[in-house]
Amino acid sequence: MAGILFKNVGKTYPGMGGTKAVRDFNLAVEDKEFVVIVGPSGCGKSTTIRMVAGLEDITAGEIFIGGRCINHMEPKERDIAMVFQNYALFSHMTVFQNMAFGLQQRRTPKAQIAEKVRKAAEILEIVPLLQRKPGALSGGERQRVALGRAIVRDPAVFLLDEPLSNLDAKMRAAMRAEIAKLHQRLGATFLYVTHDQIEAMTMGERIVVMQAGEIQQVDTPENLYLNPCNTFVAGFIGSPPMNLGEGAVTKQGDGFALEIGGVRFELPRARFPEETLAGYAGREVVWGLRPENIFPEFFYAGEADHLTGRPVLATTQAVEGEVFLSEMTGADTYLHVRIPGKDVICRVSSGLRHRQKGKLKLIPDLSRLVLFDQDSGRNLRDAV
Amino acid sequence: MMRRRHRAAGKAGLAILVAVILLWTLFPVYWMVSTSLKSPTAVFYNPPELFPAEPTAENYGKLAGGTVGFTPISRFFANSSIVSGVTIVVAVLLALFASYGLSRFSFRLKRPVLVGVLISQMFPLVVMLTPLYILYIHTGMINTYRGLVIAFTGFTLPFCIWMLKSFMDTIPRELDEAAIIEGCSRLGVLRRVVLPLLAPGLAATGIFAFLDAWNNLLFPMSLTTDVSMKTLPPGMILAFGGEFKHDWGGMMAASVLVALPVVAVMVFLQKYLVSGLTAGSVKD
Repeated sequence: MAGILFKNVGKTYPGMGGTKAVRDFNLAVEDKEFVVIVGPSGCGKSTTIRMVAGLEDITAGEIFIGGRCINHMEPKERDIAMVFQNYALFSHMTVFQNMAFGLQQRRTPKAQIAEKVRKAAEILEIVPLLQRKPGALSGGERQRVALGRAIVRDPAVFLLDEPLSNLDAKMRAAMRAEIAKLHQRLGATFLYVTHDQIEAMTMGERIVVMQAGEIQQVDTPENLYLNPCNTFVAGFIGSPPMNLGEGAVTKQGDGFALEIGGVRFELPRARFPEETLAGYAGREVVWGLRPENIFPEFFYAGEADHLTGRPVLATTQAVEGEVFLSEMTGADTYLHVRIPGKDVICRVSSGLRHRQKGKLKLIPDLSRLVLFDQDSGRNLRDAV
Repeated sequence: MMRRRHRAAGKAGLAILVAVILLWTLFPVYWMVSTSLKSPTAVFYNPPELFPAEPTAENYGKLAGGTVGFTPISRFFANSSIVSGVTIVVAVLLALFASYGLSRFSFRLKRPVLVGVLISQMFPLVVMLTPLYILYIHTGMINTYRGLVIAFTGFTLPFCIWMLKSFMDTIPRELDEAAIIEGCSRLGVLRRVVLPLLAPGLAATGIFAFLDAWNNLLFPMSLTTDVSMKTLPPGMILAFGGEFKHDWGGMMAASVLVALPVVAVMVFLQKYLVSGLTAGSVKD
């Protein structure tokens, strides 16, 4: 039973006028939950996890692990283990000694140490490496050893600080699945820090998006992707990022309309009810559309089709645009299209015979449209 | 074809250059050894002998059996060994703790401390000699090992701290942090993680402290008045040099003796000087 509770946690570094690295951080990580903190570098995510580890002093607020306030506890009393970006293996010791280190510090009997290390090594499939030194291992193997050193002590909370950032892309994808499996198997609480939104999306049960020391949004990957709370999250999560543009909201009949690329689209009432938009009539807002929610017209010609993924769109109106770049990435191709006042990215299946260059009509999927306040950047649906 | 010939010429040129440099550095060493094997008259042959025609061990015999007054020359050797040995231990130990603090913690006066340590290195030995002498007279430390060790340590410590700190800085901080999370105390981190990885740095620093103490002439010459407390460098001067005597053979034999431990230390500790012991602890 060890959730992590952050109560108004803050970190101020002395000197330089007291830089606030983390501000008013409130979060309840459930027992056995996998929570990922993600954000650009310098956003305070590493500082946060290091405060949990006891490597940084907590300058404001309190952190609880399993109900115990850990503010003034030594790291070894916190029942945690940590995996570092650069693995931090002791290069003068063998893999076995590295993994046994923490148990030796706790004066565990030798036979028990050998048993626990062997078990952890079996889980991570590094038994043949036990007598080697870290210098003789590949990056992926080293990271396994670092994980092994963490799991032998059977801690309640695992702290992982960018553990995959030093691996190559292929290894990273493999280790992502590995860590997710490990989490299921161990049934411990995982707090994972990364700057890589793919890692965050694929691994986190919940994701904390941070920027400039503050939490922007805490949510499941689905909600984060479909309904970002502000323009920062909208731009940060998703690759390529959400298309964000400006347009005016106008009253149209008894509903509302939004201008995108010179075309007025009637906003679906189910998604944007009267009370949400009432204050915005006649004002500019920021609209957001994911690249996969903008369709070339030729693709849409015809009925909705589940086999090709052709959706039912709320509108048949189209924006005129011109393709100026197309990036083929494999299954998908990203079309960069210039529409009046804005360049947008549109994701299409590479199987389609799309045009490489030239004119293209685009139809937005308004059921996925997100609107933000122009001044505060907040999602209009949350702003009410 | 031209290029290959060019490269061959380059290689030959490099070999010649290396040979010249080696000759330049090694010839004095050779001359020391060969002179130590010559008789007093052979030393002054003109033209000088490149190889001693009649090599003799008589100079080394003088070292083994010779005395200055009532003090056997071997006593100088023992004095040097004791004082240098203790200096290594004291200086390296102090430098270890100082450099760990300076490398790992940030505190208000860190920069001034570092700069201060560096500045203290800039005073020439001679400047410190008179105050040190007066201090030693008042504290009764003239003619003591204690006095020499303190003087040598004080002289070598600033450089040792800087040197060890730069080695320490190459050991990633994350290793300390990982060890702390695994349950180590700060001292435990130093002993179980930093120390083993610092071995090359410790060896290099130790060698430096040793050379500083072993080769020091000015301190032992001034801070000891009793012949039986002299170390090798002043002892050699007493034994073989002087206003009216020039026993070059004896002097060179003594020089060989002085140089031998240094060479031995280098050979023995050289493998620790090869860096790369930290390979694999973190991603490069």
